[in-house]
Amino acid sequence: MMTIEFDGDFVEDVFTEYLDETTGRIRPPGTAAARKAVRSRRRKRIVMFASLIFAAIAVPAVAILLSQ
Amino acid sequence: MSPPDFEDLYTAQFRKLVLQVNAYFGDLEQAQDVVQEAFCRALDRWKKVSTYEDPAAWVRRVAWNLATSQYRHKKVARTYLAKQREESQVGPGPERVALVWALSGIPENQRRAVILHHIGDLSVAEIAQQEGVPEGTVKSWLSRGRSALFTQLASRGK
Repeated sequence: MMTIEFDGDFVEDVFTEYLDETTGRIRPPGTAAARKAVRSRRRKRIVMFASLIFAAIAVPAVAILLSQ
Repeated sequence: MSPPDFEDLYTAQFRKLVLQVNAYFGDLEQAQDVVQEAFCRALDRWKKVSTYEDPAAWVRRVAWNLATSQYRHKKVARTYLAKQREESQVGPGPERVALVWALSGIPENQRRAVILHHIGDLSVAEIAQQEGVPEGTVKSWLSRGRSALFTQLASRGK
């Protein structure tokens, strides 16, 4: 059975147990993964922006051509 | 002063932030994803973020905003699932350490304050700045949070 004492030490022990137990299980994906993700997002943003520009020009152009 | 290096910030802060976010919602994998996402956002704006007085505080704030948002979505989903299945029980699993379990039972604001203070080593003033509340409110959250944490742990120990 766990001993519960209503003092600060007990709380500190619980925090220490948590830090000891969890720190070793953390596996950082690394900065290379972050850079790769950011590059991919930037590419997607560029493609999306280009598509929007294209649509903004092409749709009215087609509409004008069809109306003539 | 030269701007901080992204790699150094990542190495110094990643584990610290994961420990905080994991204590908040008790899912290590999701905590790592949230912190990695915060670093990706920082990297995307690194020219600007690196000029800030404390880039680590910016990353921490983004990570916590993401964590809070995901936690709320998860809570809604869990409530819905619990309604669907009566037997669904959100109790502590064997893999969850006492602290994470106990923290899950205290109100969100108090939990954030306790985690930031005791795991993130932030001062009352820094927590107040991050949360956008007066220092007195943080002190009150900390006091109530600690007492609620005691109660939770005591009930587990019985």
